[in-house]
Amino acid sequence: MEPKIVEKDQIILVGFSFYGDPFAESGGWTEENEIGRLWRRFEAFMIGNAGRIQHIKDPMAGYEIHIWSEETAAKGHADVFAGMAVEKLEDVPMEVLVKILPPTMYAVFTLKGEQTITDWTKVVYEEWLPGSGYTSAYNYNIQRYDQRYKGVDQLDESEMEVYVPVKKAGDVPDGDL
Amino acid sequence: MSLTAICRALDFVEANLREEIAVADMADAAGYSLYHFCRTFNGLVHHTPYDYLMRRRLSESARELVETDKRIIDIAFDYRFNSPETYSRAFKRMFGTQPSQWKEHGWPDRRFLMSQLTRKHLEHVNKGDCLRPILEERDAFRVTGVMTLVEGGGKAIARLWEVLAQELKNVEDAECYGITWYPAGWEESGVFYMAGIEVGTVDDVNPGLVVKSIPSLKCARFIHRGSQDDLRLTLDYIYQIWLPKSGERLAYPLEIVRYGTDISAAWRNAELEVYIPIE
Repeated sequence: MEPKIVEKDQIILVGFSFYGDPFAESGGWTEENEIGRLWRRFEAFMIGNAGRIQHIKDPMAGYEIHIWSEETAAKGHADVFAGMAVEKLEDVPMEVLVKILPPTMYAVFTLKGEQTITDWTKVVYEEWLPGSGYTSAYNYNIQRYDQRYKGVDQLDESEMEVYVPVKKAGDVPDGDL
Repeated sequence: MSLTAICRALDFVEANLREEIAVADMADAAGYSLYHFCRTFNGLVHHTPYDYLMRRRLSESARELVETDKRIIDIAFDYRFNSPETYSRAFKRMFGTQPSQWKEHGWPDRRFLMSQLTRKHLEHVNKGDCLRPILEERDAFRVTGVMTLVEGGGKAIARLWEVLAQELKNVEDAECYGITWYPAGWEESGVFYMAGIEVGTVDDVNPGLVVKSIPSLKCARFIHRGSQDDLRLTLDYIYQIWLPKSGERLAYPLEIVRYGTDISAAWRNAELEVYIPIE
């Protein structure tokens, strides 16, 4: 897996957030975890509130941000934001949350088919990163889904992108988010 | 293979029950990234990694409470709880009672202690047959057979079925049931086990046998596919994973296993039904 290296300006996202154990739901016995449910919640909002989120950059692109910390490592929790990118921080409906990601360099990986459900996090952070000349710049990464992602039932024809914030190895750290 | 990776994490938990470990360390032991590990672990174990770790710690501590003279506060710290209060809360959440009451009470009910899961457990449960029960109202029925207090399971139960077979030589096509009742303190006393066949009326039953009437019960019905020896794996899943996750509560300390009409075949390898009465 070879990434493209790109510089990105600040990214402004609007959407919903989940913090906790995505697999801990009791009783329901549904196949879907909390992150799937987070997306359903966001989609339902978008359908029910057509036009209320303005300045959307790309109406086909969904962003899933995973943030990690000592707390997520201790308990296996996930800190996840699901939403869409907007041009500017204006006219944001009260019901949605905003996430602002700093300007940074990203290593962008395109994952295809089966790759999307493998342990690509491990491949990126433990196999690619150590020999890349880069280090992790921030404690989050982005999964970007657009029209190329057809869903888990059509995995073979699906593609997604993973954005990993990086800096040149040896650079002064920017600090945690 | 993910099963092997998850088993490495299970071994890691056992080796570190009293150490300060994070779920991220379990993921390292498996060789997975954290999120992928949590997803895979939950998919195979059906508890989340953190839940399993806590349940294993609480279950081992529950043994120590009754088997040793250690103080509760020391046990709490041994198993990495921050304070006796956190320990009590977690303990109560899992067992429905305080550690102090549990200690006085005497013996832990092993059915509800989280077993150390093995590869065999994971393989068995993930064949998928027993994963999801059907909740249903089971009609009242009668069985006739032999019943005794059984200590230590397997052999004594097999012997009971042999005795029953002798008595029922001429009976054909009868539904066979194994019924277990767990009295309080069964870890010491043993369980009541009845090997029996379903009967319509009790007018002409063999006077040497006992008759038991089971009232109509709301039950969770599980399928067990495999041998009698592996029934333990299904029961561990029912009591230690399905029960706490489903939020259901047991109505009686009773298990009913329906073997079908050919008990000897069913004993070796078959599809059995396990009924657990719920509230």
